[in-house]
Amino acid sequence: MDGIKFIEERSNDKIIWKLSEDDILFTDCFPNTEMTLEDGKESTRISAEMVKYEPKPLLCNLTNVVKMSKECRRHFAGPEHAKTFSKTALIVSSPVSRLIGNFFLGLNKPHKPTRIFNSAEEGLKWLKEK
Amino acid sequence: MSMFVVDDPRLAQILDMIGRMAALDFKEELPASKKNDVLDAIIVGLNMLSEELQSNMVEKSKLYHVNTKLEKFALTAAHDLKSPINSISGITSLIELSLKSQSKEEILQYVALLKSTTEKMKELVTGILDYSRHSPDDIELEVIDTNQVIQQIVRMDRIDLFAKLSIPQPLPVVQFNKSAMMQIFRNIFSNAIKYCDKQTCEITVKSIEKKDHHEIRIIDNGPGIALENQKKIFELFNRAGTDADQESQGIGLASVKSVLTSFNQKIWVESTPGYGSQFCFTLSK
Repeated sequence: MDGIKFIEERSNDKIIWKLSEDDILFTDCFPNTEMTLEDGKESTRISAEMVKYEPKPLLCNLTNVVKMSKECRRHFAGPEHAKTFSKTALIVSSPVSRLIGNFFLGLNKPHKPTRIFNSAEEGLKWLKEK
Repeated sequence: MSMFVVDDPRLAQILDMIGRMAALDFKEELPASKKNDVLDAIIVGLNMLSEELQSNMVEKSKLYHVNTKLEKFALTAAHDLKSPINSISGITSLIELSLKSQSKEEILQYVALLKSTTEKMKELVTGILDYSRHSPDDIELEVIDTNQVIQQIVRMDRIDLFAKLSIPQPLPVVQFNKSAMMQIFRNIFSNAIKYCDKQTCEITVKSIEKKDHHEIRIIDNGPGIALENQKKIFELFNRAGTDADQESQGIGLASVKSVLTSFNQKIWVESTPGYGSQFCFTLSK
């Protein structure tokens, strides 16, 4: 992940958002994060502001997420989130995050192209594919 | 990845959780240890499965309810439409016979009967359409003066010919849909007139201001409604408490309830047999 230049960075008590110069939004969570619907909506709101309301690729690191509510998963899979992101790479390098990612893909069926990766490098490569 | 040991207390919790899920009990959620290991992943997975299964069961139960209502609706609508169709068929046979005997008077009599039967059928179909039309998606809100809506109904339906209507205090101005509001008042007024057992039908409309809504009360001096029928009268095709000679379709109040429900408002009736009825509904401020 070295060599990526970030042009904007924001954070709250659960999430860090970084926008790269090639217009990819990176999100990461602090350890043991439990995501609720409110957190999900707040994340989408901040993301939308950072990408200036134009759908951009998202690299979302779920590794530190230990819980995500049903409502939050539905929000991330829904149309509002798809307006903000063109495609999503989910990074799942812990047992819990892998399970959450699989649930998300299997049960919630996101509106936008979404894939699970074990590393950020693999995810980033896929996001940059045309 | 951290390992777990077979006497890890989480294993017993997981087994209990699976047992509860097998018994369709999805209320409890297992606490995760935050070790972020395989057992925690199983716990998170079970919690999410349990949550999704519970939500699916609720949806399934709602669908079952809607399906049952639809089946009842289709059966009763078909049954109610069959009756005037049978009449029309019979009347046309009679007209045919009268044409042979060239009895002009009889023919005119049967044509009048035919007209009234088709009119009833039209009313029934209109009622079903009114009931079905109100989905939250096709509702436009506007600022409405309830007093003006009632005045318009009085003028259009000539309520003054059939009832003595009084409005002691001005009624509120609310955000609502005009045609929906007209449908509500029209139905309740026409029921009060239809079922009145007194020489003069008296209708009073009052409004009580509550914290976040207005409570509208339409009071009549009719025969009243028995307690056991007070909920049933809002069900589709229910003719609870109506006499055979009163031509109720059992749609009007179901439509009124459907309209108000689509605006997240409530309707109920307060009544003591022999002392009239008060149809009450809420209108948000």
